[in-house]
Parts: sequence; C-alpha cells; structure tokens
Amino acid sequence: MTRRHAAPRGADFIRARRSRADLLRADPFRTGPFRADLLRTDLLRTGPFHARLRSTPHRLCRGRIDRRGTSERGVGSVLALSVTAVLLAAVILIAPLAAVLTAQSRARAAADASALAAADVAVGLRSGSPCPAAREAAVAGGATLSACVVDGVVVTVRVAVPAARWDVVAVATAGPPR
Amino acid sequence: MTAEFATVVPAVILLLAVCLATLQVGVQQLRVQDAAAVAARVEARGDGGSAAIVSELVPGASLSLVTRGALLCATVGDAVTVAGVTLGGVRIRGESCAPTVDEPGTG
Repeated sequence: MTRRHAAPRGADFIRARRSRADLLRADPFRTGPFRADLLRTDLLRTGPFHARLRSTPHRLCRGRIDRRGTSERGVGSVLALSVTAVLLAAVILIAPLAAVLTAQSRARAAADASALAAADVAVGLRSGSPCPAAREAAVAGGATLSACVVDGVVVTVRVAVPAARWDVVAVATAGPPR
Repeated sequence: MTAEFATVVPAVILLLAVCLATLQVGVQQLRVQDAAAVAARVEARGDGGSAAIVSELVPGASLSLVTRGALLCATVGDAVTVAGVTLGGVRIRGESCAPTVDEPGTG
C-alpha cells in the first residue's frame, strides 16, 4: 500500500509532470480527468514513450507485457550460421589432412623406390652412382631427394613430398640382406 | 522451429553432403595411390599378378605399367564414386614407380 502512493520515477515521473496543454495536444478529444488516469491511459496510448514502456515493464503499468514468440525469433539463422561455420571449419581441417595422407603414401613409396634404386647401384647391380639413381627414382615418384647417405652398400635416403602447406618426409634404408 | 529455419535446413544438408563427398574422394585417392605403389613394387620385383592385386584393392580400377629406364611405373585410375554413384567423367589417378630388379634372387 505504501508503494501505491510513492512518487513515480524515471519516465513516468517526467510524464506525470506534463501539463494539461501537452496532454490536449497529444489527444485533442480528451475529455476525462487529466491526472487520475494519466498513468493508465497515456502510458498505453500516446507519445514516444509508448515503445519504451512496452519494452520495459514498470510496476505502474498494469497487466503483463506480451512477449510470446519474440524471444526465439531469428534463432534459425543463428543456428544455420553456426552449423555452417562448424562444417566449413571441418572441411578446412579435413581437406589438408586427406592431402597429407595421400602425400605420405606417395612419400613412403618414393622413399622405398629411391633407396632400392640407390642400393642396386651400390651393390653393383647397375652402373652409376647411388645418389643420382636415388634422385631419379624419387623424382619419378613425385618427390624430391633431400638427403642421401651411402654407407658401404647400405643406402639411406630422405625424400620430401609437398602437401597442403608442409613437406611430408619419408626415410628409407636399403641394402643387401644380411 | 520457424519457417526461416525450414528454408535453411536443406542448404545446410547440402553443404554437409559436399563435405562428406570431399572426404570420400580423399579416401579414394589414398586407396588408388596405395594400389599404384603396391602394383609398381610387385611388378618391379618380377612377381607379376599386379592386375589381380589392384582389382582386389580398388575394384573397377584400371592399371597401366610403363618402364622408364631402370624404373617401372604403375598408374592406377578409377572413376570417382560419391555416395554409391559413380561419376564417369571425373577420374582420380595414382602413380608410383619402383626400381626393377634384373637378376632374380638378389632383390
């Protein structure tokens, strides 16, 4: 009961102090009392405070503000956008992964072939030098030779195959069976 | 939920399908590449039967073998299959080379 007689605050206080002329200008056909129904009629009907009072509930405003169907509006777009972002992120992560896996397979095969070709030369099955033979085999396999170490008849090679952003490296050693 | 959500769902599903198809093609490329490596290795060692191995690894794939100097290169090609549908016009291929062994028993 004490609250009912308390002075209105904020926007309502400003509106409560509007003059009779202002109220008539806003509603020329107004006939009723100007102060008694000010907070009820005026708050709901006229002026720039209309939207504001509808959006901010006030204890002087009677009745509940109808917000049904407004809080979830636009959730579809947000959801679709987030799902799309997740999918794109997955593709951006997975596509290089597939490229790297393919490059890894190629690098392994190229390293094997390169080491075998070099070892064939080192053992004496073919003429020439081991490392140029290793390079030739690596290039034929789509790789580049980055290291070639000949230790007697055992050859160790390192080849690299460019994948998405990295070089996939494979190492292979070949020699006669012991 | 809402009508706007209903219009967006097909687009998202389409995008998801594209993502999965990309992944599938990547896996297929990997298998073709591996099959080419195995075929080159087997054929260069003089074992033979690489065509049977390739058709077992990648059913329906084509195999071609080319000798380049001391190397034997195998190329495996296959039509791209997405979600069980074979796209005849799009092909993926994998190539691999292996050094040939002249004298049997030394490799």
